[in-house]
Amino acid sequence: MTVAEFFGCGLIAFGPSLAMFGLTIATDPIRTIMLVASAFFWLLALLFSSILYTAVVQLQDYLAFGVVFSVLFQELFRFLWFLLIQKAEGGLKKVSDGNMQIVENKHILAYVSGLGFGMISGAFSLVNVLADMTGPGTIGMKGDPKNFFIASAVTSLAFILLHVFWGILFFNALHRRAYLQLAYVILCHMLASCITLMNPIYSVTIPTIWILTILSGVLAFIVAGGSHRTIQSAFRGRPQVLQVNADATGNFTQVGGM
Amino acid sequence: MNVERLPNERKLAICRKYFMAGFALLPFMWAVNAIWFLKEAFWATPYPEQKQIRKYVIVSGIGAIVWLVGLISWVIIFQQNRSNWGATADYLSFIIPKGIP
Amino acid sequence: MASKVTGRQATLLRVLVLSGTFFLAAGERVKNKIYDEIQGDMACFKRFNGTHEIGCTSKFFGNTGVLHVIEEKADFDWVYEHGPHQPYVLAFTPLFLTEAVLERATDSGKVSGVVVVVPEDFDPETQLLDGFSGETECPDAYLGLYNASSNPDYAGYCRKKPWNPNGTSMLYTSWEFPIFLITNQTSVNNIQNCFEKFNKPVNGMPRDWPLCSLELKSNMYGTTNSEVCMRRASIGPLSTDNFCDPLYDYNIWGTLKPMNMSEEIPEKSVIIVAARMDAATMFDNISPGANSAVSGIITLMSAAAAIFKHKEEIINVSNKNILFILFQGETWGYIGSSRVVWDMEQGQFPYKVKDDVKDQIAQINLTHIDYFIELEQVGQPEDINKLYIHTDPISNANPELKNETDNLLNILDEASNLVNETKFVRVRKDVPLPPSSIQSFLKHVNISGVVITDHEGEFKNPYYESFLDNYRNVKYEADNETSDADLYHKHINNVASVLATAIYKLATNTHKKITADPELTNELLFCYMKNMTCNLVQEYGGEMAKHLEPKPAKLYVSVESGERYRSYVTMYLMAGLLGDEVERNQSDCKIESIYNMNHFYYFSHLHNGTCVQTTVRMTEAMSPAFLIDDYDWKSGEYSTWTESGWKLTKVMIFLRPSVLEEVAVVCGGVVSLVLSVIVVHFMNSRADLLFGLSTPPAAC
Repeated sequence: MTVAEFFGCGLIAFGPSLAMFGLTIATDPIRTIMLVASAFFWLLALLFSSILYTAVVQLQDYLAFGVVFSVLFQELFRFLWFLLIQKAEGGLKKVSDGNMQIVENKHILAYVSGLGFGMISGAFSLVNVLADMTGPGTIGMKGDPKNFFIASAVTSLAFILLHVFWGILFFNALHRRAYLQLAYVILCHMLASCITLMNPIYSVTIPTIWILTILSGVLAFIVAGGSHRTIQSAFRGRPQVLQVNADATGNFTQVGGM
Repeated sequence: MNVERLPNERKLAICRKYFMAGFALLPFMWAVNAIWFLKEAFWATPYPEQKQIRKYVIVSGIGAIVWLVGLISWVIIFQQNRSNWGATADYLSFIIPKGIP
Repeated sequence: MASKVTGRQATLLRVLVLSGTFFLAAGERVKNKIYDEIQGDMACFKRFNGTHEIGCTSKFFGNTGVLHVIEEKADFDWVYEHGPHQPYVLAFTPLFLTEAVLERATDSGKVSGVVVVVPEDFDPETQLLDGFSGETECPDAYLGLYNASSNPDYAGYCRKKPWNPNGTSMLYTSWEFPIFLITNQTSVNNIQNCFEKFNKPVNGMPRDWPLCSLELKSNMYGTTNSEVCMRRASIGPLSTDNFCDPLYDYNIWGTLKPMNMSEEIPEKSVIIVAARMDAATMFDNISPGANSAVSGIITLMSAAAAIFKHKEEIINVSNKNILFILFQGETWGYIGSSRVVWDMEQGQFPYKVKDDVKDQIAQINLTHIDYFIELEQVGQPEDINKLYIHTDPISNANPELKNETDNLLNILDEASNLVNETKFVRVRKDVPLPPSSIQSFLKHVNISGVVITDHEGEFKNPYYESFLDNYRNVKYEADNETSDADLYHKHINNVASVLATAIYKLATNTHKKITADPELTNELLFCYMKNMTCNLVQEYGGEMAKHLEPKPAKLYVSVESGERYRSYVTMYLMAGLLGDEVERNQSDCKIESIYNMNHFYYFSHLHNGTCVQTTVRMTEAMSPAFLIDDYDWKSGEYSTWTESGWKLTKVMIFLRPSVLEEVAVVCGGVVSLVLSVIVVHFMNSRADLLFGLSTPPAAC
C-alpha cells in the first residue's frame, strides 16, 4: 500500500540529485567516472569508520562517538580524493578527448566529487528506511513521530546538497590554501551531523540543517564565481561580458556547479 | 550486419535462408526476417531481387503473425481451462502454480 | 542490499554511515518500529480428502484489513452496516466462533480475516454454554462401519441421535479468509490496546486514519482435493514442492511377550487393548485432546504397566498374548487402525518376512485376534463411578460371537466388582458403536470387542476436537507431577485397574485384583495435559524429549515431515513401561534390525543410563489409500486426508496511513523532482553567466 510513501520520500530525497546527475553528469563520461570514483572514496571512509567502530567495543553505545569519527573519516577521504585527482590531472587531460573544460575549471571536478559523496551518503542513509516503507504499514503505532519518513527524506536531501557544497568549498580552499574555509567545511559537517543526534526533535534539527545548507550553498556559489550581479545577468539571459565560445546549444560552454 | 551494404544476391540468399528456417517451427525466424528486410522489400530503390525478397518478407510476416495469434490464443485457452482439464493440464504444465486450483 | 542488513550490521550502518543519520532509536530497524509480529503459529490451514478441501488460506502476500475487536454482538452490525474502512480483520473470543458468525462474515464481503483471541480470563465453562466442537455431529461416520451401503439399519442412527451434538462441522468447512488462534497474552493485549488507541469507534462514529491493521499470512500451496494435489506433487520437474502430503505418523504398540516367527501364534490368542493417539483442531500447533485422546492413552499406559508387573505369571499359565496399541490418525478416518487391518490382510503386519534376520518378529493376522478392548473418551463420566460399554449389534447377531462377547462383558463386570471403584454399564444392544477404531476391524473380520467410554449416548465432552478440550475441560487439577489431591487421576487410575484386572482374567482365566500405580498415572497425565517437559518425560522420553516445549502434548497426527516428538516420546515411555532392564551399555543398547522381535531402548537420564529390552515399536500409520495403485479417491473405503504444504504463517500488527497522506507524499516527491529539474537546467544552461566565466576561478 505504501509503495506511495516509498516513491514519494524517494523522490523528495533524490529528486534534486537525480536532476543534477541527469542534466550535468550523465552527458559526459569523464564526469560520470569521477562521480563514481569519488563515491567509492566515500565508501572507503565508511569502511574505515566501521572498522574503528567494531574495534572500539566500549564506545559502541555512544552514537556521538561514531558520528564524530565518521565525519572526520569522510573529510579525510575527501582530502585523499583531492590529492589523487591532483596527481591524476595529467592523465585526465589525456583521456578527456580534447574537452579541456573539466581540467581548466576546477569547480567542475569539485562539484562532481561533492555530488558523488552526497549521492552515496544519501543512498546509505535512506535506503534502509526506504526499503522498510514498501510494506503495508506506516510508522506511529509505538508512539514514534508520524512524520519520521518525511523528516528522514528532507534531512537526507539536505545532506546530499551539503555534500555538493562542501565539495566545492573544500577543493577551493585547498587550491587557494584558504584554511579558514577548510575549517568551515569540517565544522559545518560536524555540526550538521551532531545536530541529528537530537532527532526526533525535528522542529530543531531540520531548520538548523537547512540553515547550514543554505549558508553553505551561498558560500559555494560565491566561491564558484557567482554574485547577485551574475544572477541578474543570468535572468536577463544575455551575456554581459563577451563570451568567445558561446554557441547556440550551450554545449561548449557548459559548466557544472551550482 | 548492415543489410543495405550487401550485394543484392546476398540479400536474397539471406532472406530465403531465414524464410526456410522458419518452417522448422521457428516463427521467430520469420519475425526477424520480416522486420529486418522490411525496408529492403518496400522502400529501397528497386532492384531485380527485390520482388522475391518482398514475397518472402510478406509470407514470413504473415506466418509470424499467425504463429503469434495461435500462441496467444493457446495461452488464453489453456489458462482459462487449466483447472477444468484436470490431470491433462497438469501433465502439460512445466510449473504448476501453488495454491491455485 | 540494504534490506538484508540486519541486527548488528544495521546498527553499524546507522551509526556510522551517516552523518545524515536520523536516529530513531539506536540500532533498531525501522521495520520493527512499524510492525509488531504477534503470535502467528496457530493458523487454520488447509486439508484435503478425495473430494473436498477444508480449512483456510490467505492470499499469496497475506490478507490485510483494519482491525475491529468484537466485544458484543452489535459490533458485528456496526462493521457490516457502518464500517467505512473495509476490508476488516475481526478479532473476537471463542464466544463468537460459530458457523453463523463466520458465514455472515463471508457473505458481507467486508471481512478479510479473523483472529480468535483467548484472553486469560476467558472461562469456557461459564461463557460457552453450548459447548464447542469443530467436529461433525457424527465424527468419522463416512469411513466407519455403519454407512448406508453396508448397514441400512444402523446407518441413520447417528443422524437421529448424534454422538456429538455440539458438533459444528467448522473443522470441515472451507473458509474464504485466514483464521488465526491467538492465546499468547502479550499478543492478545497488543491487539486490544492497538484497537482502543486507534480504531475503537467513538459514539458509533468511525475513527480517522491512520488505523490499526493486521496482516495475516498463511498461504496454502494445495488446492481442490487430495487427488489433484497428490498428482501435482508427483509430476513436474520441480516436484519437491509440497502441494500436499498424506497425514502420517506411527502406531505405537508392544506385546506382553515377544513373538518369534519360529513359534506359531495360536488362533485367537492375541488380546488387543487399543486407544486413540491423536486429536485435532482447526488450528496448527494446538491439539490438546484431553478427553478425546489423553484419557484413553493414559488409561492404556497405566493398565499396561500394571499388567506387565505380572508378566511371568501370565506367560507361565497361558498361551495368550496381549497387544497394547495406540492408533494414530483415527480422527481423520481411522488411518492407524485401517492401516493395521490392511497390513494384516496383506500378511505384512508388522513387516513382510525377511529371509536373513534371526529372531524375527512373527506376523500377526486377523485370525490371531482374540478380544478387542478399546478405550475411547473415558475422562468425563457424569457419575464418577460409571463408565459405559458399547458393543456392535451387527457382528453380535452371530450367536457364537455373542457368547464370546458376553464372556468379555461378564469378565469386565467381575473385574469392576473386584476393584470396586468404577462400575461398567452396558449400553443397549441395538445401539451401534460410537466412533472407534474397532470399526476398522469389524469392517473386515468378526471379532468380539468392546468400546469403553464415559458416555451412553451423546458425548459428555462439550469440546470434542477443539482447542478447548484441555485439562480444564476434564478438571484435571494437579499443579505438579506428585500432587495426589487431584480426583481426576484417581478416576483414570481406577479405570486402568479394572482394565488390568479384566485383562489378567482374560489371559489366565483366574481372578486377581490388579491395581494400577496412581503416582504413575498422575505423572503421565501431568505430562500430556500440562507440560511435556516433565520429569517423567525427561527420564523416560528418550533423546527426542529435549525438543518438546513446556506445553500440553500436541496430538495432531501431522505429515511425514511434520513434528513427531510426542510420538517418539510416547514410544519410549511405552518401552519403559513394557520393558525389562538389561545389562548393556549405551553402545550395545541398540537393535540389529527393526525386524527383530525385541528392541532395545537406552534411557541416558535414568540411573546414569539404563538399557531396556522390549517389544515396543512403531509402525507406519499412513492410509492404505496412498499405497494402493490406482486407488479410487472417491470410493470412501480408506481415509484420503492430506495436509496442504505452506511456507510460513505469520500475523503482523501495524498502522495504515490514509490514502490522502500517501498522495500528498507522492506529490511532494514529484514537486521536488520537477523543481530541481527546472533549477538545474537553468543553472546549467546559464552557467557561463551565473558563474562569471570571464573571470576564471583564482587558483586556475
